[in-house]
Amino acid sequence: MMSRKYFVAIGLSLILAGSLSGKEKDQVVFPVAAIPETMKKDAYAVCREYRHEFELTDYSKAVEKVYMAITILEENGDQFGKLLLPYDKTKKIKSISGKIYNEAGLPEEKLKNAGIQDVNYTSAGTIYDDLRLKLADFKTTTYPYTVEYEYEIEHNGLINYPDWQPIEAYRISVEKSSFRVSFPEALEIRIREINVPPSCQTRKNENGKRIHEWKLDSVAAWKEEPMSPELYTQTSRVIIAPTSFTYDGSSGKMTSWKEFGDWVAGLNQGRDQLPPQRQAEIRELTGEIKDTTLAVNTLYQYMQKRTRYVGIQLGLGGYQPFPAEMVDRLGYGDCKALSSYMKALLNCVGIPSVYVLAGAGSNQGIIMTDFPTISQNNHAILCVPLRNDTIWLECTSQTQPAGYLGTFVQGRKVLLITPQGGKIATTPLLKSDQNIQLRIADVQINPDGAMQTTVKTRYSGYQYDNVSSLLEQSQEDQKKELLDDIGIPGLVINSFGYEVKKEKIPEATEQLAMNSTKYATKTGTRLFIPMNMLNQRRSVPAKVENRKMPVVQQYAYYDKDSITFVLPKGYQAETIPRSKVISSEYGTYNSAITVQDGRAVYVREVKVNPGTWPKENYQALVDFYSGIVSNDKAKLVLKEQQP
Amino acid sequence: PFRCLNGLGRLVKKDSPDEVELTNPKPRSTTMVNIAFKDGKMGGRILSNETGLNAFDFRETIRSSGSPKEYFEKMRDKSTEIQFIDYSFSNLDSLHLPVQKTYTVNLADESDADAEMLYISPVLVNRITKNPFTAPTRKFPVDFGETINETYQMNLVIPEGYAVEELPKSAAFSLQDKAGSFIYRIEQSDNNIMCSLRLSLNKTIFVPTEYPILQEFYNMIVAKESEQIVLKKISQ
Repeated sequence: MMSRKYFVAIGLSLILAGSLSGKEKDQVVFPVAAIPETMKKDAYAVCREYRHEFELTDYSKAVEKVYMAITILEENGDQFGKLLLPYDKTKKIKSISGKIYNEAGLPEEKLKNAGIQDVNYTSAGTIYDDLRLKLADFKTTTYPYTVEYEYEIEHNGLINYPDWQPIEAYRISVEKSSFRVSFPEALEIRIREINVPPSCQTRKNENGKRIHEWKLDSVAAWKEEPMSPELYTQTSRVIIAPTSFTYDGSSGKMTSWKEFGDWVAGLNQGRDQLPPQRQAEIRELTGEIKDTTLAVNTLYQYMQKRTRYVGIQLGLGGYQPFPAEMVDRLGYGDCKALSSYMKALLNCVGIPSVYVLAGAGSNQGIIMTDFPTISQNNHAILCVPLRNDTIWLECTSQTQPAGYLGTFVQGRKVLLITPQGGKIATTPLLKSDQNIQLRIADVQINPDGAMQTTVKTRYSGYQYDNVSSLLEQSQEDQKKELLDDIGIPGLVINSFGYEVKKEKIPEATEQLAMNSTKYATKTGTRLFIPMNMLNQRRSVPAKVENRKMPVVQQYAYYDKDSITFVLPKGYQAETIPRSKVISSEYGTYNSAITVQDGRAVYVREVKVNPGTWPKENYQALVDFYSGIVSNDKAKLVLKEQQP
Repeated sequence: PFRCLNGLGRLVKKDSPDEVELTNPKPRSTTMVNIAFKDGKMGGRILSNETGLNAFDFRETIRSSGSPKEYFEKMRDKSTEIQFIDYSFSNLDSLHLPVQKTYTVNLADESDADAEMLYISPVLVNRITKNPFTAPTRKFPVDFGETINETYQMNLVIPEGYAVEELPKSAAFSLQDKAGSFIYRIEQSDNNIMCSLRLSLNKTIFVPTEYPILQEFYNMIVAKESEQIVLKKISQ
């Protein structure tokens, strides 16, 4: 019976295969069985072939063609089977085609027009822009499968050229990838190769054109590793960029950061005018103030109250700010408009300031000081140079203290747009002795394990951000969040409050009075008292076998907890956890407990150092944190004294 | 799936549409742990069986981790209380059978091999360390979605040269009308210590007025599960 069904099934599938593929019946394309094991390791998908052609016809026109074939091995790889093509009014998508193949390599379906969505690509926080996205997707649930896409784009106005990065994401390997760039001999473009073996590139001159081509084969997939730098710093990349460019009716040069800054300054020209009544109002507001820093702070707070951040980017509007009088009238703007507006406010009282292009969040800013590209910034801030100091202003925040940039933009190279063109500067980075969390607590332990405590914690520098968002919430919400975060069973918060110093290196002091019926564990005649009441580290970075990437620790900080426990009468210390000192290049840790006169004093200090280390150091880093986690569990054991 | 446990559903059928109660068969979870002192370390095995949504969630997590090996490695690397050495899973694909997990483990606590006192927690797996109910008052009912039926048993062989100094006491507490109960038993028999606990929740929905009792119930569970076995070195 079984074998009969089997034969019928085979027969049916043969007939179906025939009708589906038609004349392509015998053409097997990218069978999955042909993928070598090395390409499948750690991979959710395999790029079988990728061909990218970019032909520049003049500084404002180009044609781009891309072909790709990707095999998706499992559900986690579905994202690699989608085609996402962002475009705006400078890009015209001339054609898109696609096909999906089954495991054997037989074609199953062609991409239909209905399978291509055209959507607005506005990012969160942005109300309106002309960015659109073509999205193509074959919805399938049979794995593995192979998708093939081909598209052509016509560029009319270019401020950046495509780059080539065979490995762009984790979990995808590459069998064959190539990049071909051609342009008339009379034109000039800039090329930067990173982590590319010299043998990859071929150059030739043909029919009055210069042609560069790069090829890379058989690159294995990368797997995510904790505490690593961005993937693009480790993989092969070819970046090409303009020397001269024309975009949305504006032309400029980009051979140096100075030149690029000139163009940005040109865009900003004349956009800093404020209506006369506003100017008078500003002068009156700051008239009496002699100290420049105080004047800057006052105007910054004025701007924070009057405006809020809303992202609006349209064509050149992605680079050119709204005029200041528009921000003044509407009360909102994006980072460029708000920074430009702040500059206009300072102009009213004769305080010079500089508009700055920066990289924010995961965008590390200028990483190639000799190779300008627009991808090395995605944000705008303002800089006020003083005689002995510089005040940096984040104009999109309505709550940040003046001069404090937070971890969003600190510690990277930025571009100052000065009248002499673009100049590179570095935003400050707070050190561990500035990012402090200092805590002092007094705790009363009862014989039944209950405790009452008053705690005072000072957060400063980046650690101010541990509580900065809490400060903006209602008292009720603050209490809820504290209850959730503190994690002591049976906790009741009796009172709490915050005192804030909104300075360049901000500080917040938190006072807490709370109690719990179940803090110390009682087992018969013993009491187990956890020593690290509020700062117990519980996580260790995961182990990695055969680590590939360097080890990175981005931010420095220092924590100190000093807790005095008043012990219940009638108990004696049975086991006092030993003092521990851990010293390493990644940081230091020490904890000590002393018991005397019915009191136990617990002091714990942690200092974390920023840095980048070779991959071989990873285990030592894991051991450092492992030691902390283990030691943070320390419990003082008391035993009831025999009468 | 959990998101579908919505009370009543509508059976869409041509001639006889009907109401269907959207519930799952009651889930069960059983865990057995054996720990002894071997090769200079306290270690042993953990065996557990799960049915219902617990099993479903486990199978789903394995699938999205890529493979049982990747799941185990992630869990092993994140674990700080116990050191996971090896694993074996059964019935991952036999959906009608309970999923079985076996782990070989070492206790991770950094205690000296020769310590005067040894403090061991009897509840090594799934210990409830934090009360999910932190707010002082509750406006909305509490809906667990499903009943809870968990059994845990641990057998500890007392290492040579040590004796029991103190043991947690057995305890039992329950919610009224058989809504739920927590039974904790611990006893010593020669050089073995046996601890068993059973957590059951038979009611899934609790009204706001029952909240303080539920909160206290969990407070007591957290406290009980954190108690330690105290062993003292026998002086020669």
